[in-house]
Amino acid sequence: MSTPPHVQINAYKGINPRCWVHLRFVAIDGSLRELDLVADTGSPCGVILGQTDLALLAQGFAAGTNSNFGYLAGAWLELQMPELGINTHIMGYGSDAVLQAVRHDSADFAGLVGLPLLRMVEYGGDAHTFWVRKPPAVP
Amino acid sequence: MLNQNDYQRNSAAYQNLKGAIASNYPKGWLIGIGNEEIIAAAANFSALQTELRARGVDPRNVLVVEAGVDYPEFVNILL
Repeated sequence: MSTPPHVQINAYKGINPRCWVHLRFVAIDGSLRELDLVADTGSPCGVILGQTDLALLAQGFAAGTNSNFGYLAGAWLELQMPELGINTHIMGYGSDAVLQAVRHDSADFAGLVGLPLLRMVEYGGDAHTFWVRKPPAVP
Repeated sequence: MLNQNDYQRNSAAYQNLKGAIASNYPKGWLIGIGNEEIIAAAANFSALQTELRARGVDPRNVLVVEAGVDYPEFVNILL
């Protein structure tokens, strides 16, 4: 009998209820940092964190970009979420303006994830929760 | 960590190196740019880190770009 896939199920959170995910990153000192991040399929950026977290987690610099929130500094981040099938480096950005915006809804939020990251998993939701899970293996 | 001045210098160098990167490296490869020139390349980030460290370079002092990717100059975040 096969084991059912791990599913991360998160009740919507915040003044304006937001869907979110809990992700684990590898810091430059090798420690793990776990963050709650708003899930936004409309964002073209894989990950946006505050500048402090970006400095702790950046394993290399990446091209930055301008945005309606001002300049987004680029960096390479290491995600370690084996239960979701993700052990990889991904381009992320740093912006305290974005951090401030997501914290308006909940102080728990440390940034947001966008479509480039969400495409790595399966995701969905209902009236109360948002979920992500490891995609099935491609034969 | 890469200081702002080096970051700007290497970012400007990347604009000039885009053509060479596109024609000399497979799409998806990661290219390390330091001192305004290509100093390493590898198929993934871990391999690039290993190569950079073998050359005595801290990966955090390098601008890393992906071959074949056009990075946007502006993005809209709809929060």
